[in-house]
Amino acid sequence: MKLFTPLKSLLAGAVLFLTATAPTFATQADDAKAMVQNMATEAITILGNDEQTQEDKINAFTVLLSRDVDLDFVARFVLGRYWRTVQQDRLADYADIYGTYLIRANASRLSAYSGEKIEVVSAIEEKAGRYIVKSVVRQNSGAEDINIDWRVRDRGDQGLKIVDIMIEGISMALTQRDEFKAVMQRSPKDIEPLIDIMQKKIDDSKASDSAADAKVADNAG
Amino acid sequence: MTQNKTNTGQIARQRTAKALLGAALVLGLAACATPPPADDPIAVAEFKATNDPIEPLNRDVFEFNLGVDRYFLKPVAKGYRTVVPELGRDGLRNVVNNLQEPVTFINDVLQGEFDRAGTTFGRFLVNSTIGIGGLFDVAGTQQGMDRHVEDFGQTLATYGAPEGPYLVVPFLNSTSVRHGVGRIVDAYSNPLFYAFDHAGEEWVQPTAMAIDVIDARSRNIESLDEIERTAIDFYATARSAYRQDREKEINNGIAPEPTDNDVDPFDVDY
Repeated sequence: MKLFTPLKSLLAGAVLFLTATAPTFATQADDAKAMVQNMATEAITILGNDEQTQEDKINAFTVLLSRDVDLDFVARFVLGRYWRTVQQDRLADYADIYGTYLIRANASRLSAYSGEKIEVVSAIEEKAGRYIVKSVVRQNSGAEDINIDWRVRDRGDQGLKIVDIMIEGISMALTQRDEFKAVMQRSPKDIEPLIDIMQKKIDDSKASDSAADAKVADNAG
Repeated sequence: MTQNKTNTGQIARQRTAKALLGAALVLGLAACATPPPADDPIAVAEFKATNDPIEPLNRDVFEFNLGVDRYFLKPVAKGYRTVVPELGRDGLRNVVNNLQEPVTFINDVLQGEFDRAGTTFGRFLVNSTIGIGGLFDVAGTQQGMDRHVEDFGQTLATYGAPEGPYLVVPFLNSTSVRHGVGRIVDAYSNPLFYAFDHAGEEWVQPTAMAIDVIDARSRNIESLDEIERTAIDFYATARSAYRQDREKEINNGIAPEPTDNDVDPFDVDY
């Protein structure tokens, strides 16, 4: 994140704020575009802030994703038909743990980026209230651009929410649903094995984060 | 000695074909996944949609391939990335891509995509000459002729051939019956490699294939590590991502026109 100094991100934030509040007659597609741009910029700012510990970054990232992603919907979507077949009194816990898992998995995937810029290109309205926002990650090494599409839905009072991210045409939600299906097929009525796997991934990620934080503290001291 | 040299290119191709055929034979004999009971129609539909009847064997081969990757391909790819500077790697990548253009051209034509065939032909001409044997992608970077890839598996798909079950082939990873057949045809249909063999330069095809694999791996070391680390079921992740990617390639990156019957999975109430 060499290029993304805190000053630059502050400036970017200010520019975004001004654009967002400008009195234009924006369509909802424009709103969807602005929402994704905003969220992506904030995410990169969080992940690029080298002065924060990994734990702090995860916390900030959690706030961001809870705000802009329809986590409850995604949790239900990826479980697919098993949402109805498993222990109904465990669904709330499942959704909770899924949210934590999703945030941690994405935070660590995103932290592999180094100074790339994300540029929102366009928003396509599929139907009223459904949008595909197209964006491009420009890599600073001169490597090929990465196309990222965001599936955005109008959630009424709650506003626009992201329900899926497609990286080079591969949908994260659909991929995860296929993964969950593979696990659930072995125990269609029991969600505990799936919860256990997610919990283990969360624990592993926490362990490696605190190790990384300790190392940073070591180097600083 | 000369006789031996002439044969290596053919042998490499024959080996690929034999490996694929061998795998296909093993599949026929292998233990199959247990289908769900017929009185559970939803589970049966799901089993069909997954289209992976030999999943237990596929999973074993997948594990085997992961081992090959861990102890061989990944270390080689890392070494390659360390030893060869970026400029060199990009140049080699361009050369390998350029050598594949004839296969793309043939399949553009077979699919009736004549505009795209023209682009491919132009790219090959420009990059082979001005681009010094394909070292520089002049056509793509300066003349707006962006690269695309077609293979015989995609051609079969556009002809309406069904995908066939999912396969994990030793050393080659995700494929399907249709894609696998296409790969065999592609390995034999590149006129460039016949020309090289004929000229006594049999090392070209195996070298190009090796660079292709090592370079592709070297560009995905960190991202694949992350995906493996965070995946709930890495095998299922790979299968799903492969299918979606293939679908996109077959449709040339354009989402198919939605019909009235298409149910958007994001609108179904689960």
